[in-house]
Amino acid sequence: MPDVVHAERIARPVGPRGFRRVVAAIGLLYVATIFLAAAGVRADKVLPRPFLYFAQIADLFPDEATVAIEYRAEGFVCAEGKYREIDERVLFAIHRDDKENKFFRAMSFYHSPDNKSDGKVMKALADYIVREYDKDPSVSPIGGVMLLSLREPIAAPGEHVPRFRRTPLVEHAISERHPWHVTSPAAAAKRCAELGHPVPADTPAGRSLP
Amino acid sequence: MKGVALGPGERAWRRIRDAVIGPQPIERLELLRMLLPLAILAFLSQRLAHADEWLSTAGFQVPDLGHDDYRQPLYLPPLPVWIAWTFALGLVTSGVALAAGFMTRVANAVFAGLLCWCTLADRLEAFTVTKFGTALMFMLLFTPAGSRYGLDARRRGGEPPTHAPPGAVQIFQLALVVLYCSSGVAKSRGDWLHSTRVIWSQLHDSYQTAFTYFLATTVPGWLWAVFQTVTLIYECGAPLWYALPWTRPVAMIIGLGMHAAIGVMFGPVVWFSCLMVSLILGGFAPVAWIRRPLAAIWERNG
Repeated sequence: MPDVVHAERIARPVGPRGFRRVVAAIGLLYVATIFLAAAGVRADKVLPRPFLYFAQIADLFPDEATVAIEYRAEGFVCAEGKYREIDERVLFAIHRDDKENKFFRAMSFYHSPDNKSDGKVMKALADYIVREYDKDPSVSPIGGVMLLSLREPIAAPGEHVPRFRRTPLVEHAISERHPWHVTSPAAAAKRCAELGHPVPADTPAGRSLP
Repeated sequence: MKGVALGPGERAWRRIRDAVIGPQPIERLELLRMLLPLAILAFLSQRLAHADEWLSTAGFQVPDLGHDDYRQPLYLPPLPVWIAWTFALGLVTSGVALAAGFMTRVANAVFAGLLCWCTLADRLEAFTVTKFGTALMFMLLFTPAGSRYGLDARRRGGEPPTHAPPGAVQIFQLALVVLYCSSGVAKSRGDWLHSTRVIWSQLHDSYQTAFTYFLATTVPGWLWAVFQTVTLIYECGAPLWYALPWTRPVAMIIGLGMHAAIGVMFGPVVWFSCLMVSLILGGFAPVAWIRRPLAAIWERNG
């Protein structure tokens, strides 16, 4: 390999020297921010939040999972006056069968009932599911939804591992299901009435979170 | 004219200086320019096929959460359906043009800008590939990528450059090793030093492939702890492993092997693996490996 690189064969850099220095400084700051974010250093008072957002990328599988989590939805079927599992995947076509779909991600990020923002997202998600699900004329309309997680214990290393597959909610123990959001009974009854399926008077149109 | 013979100390110093602030073979930069946008587009392929659900009012979008929520650094409203499809078309066109070195600077700017928008607009579909990918595309924008081995270079003709200017390749090399090291630090702060079951515990959900299931049911339990240890050592020490010439080949083998394993074991994460493999190859593979195929594709008749 030659010790000397002829200058005329070096591709021309972009912009004047001062501009390149600024760009290089921003690039180095970004790389440093990746490290600082992973190390737990809070820089949100110093750096713009969108800049930080793009640097929060190194937290890749840091923790041991104790359960395998899925998220599911039950719909309040107006004609029956009770909740049944619905296949929410038909409404979320992007990566419909794995945890990169929007439903899973929304539930994963925003399910905390104690957080005001999360409540807003959960309500928007529930409204979206009800609205879109009822657009299909072949299904029995629903007035509300319950959004829940399924938490299945993970076998110890070396123990029998089941092949992952989606199984109906009813095949899972109650202890594995955790509801995070439910449409209010009044809202579910109102929507059912609007759809021409008034809920019988003796049926509570919905459930509450335990 | 004969050059002056250099002592071993001086030679070592020159190698370090050239590696850190010297011009780098243009092949590295051009390979990154070709592979990175394709890996990002492959990752986005499912989103692009459902652009209306992804970015428009037709799909579920997280509402405006105000300025207090750290998970939404900037609220960008959903697009009308037709704009979402135009957006997707723009992403594909600019990404492919960039990879082909056609109107490279314009394609690079458009691709980086659109990627930035969709990564900010849809928190639910923002992953390391799109966040890091956006940054990588902006880094590429400020380099002379497209100077060689592309349609622009072919049209221009003349003597092609042999080297990228100082910093143009090194920023990608630095980003790669710092990402690894940061990931190692994050793992150390998590459970990786306290539990031997972290990798094992990730094999059971919807990312599981037939190959994952095969391994989970055949590989002895203790071996997962070995994989975990190797991964942590590789990631934490990445800046060192890739800086030293005698550890670099081993680091490359472990890195490529690790990403191949991730790709076949964790379903959609395969595109993240492709992005990282592109960075390893473009940043650190022996230049002869890169030069031969690039010349065969682009300079056959030259």
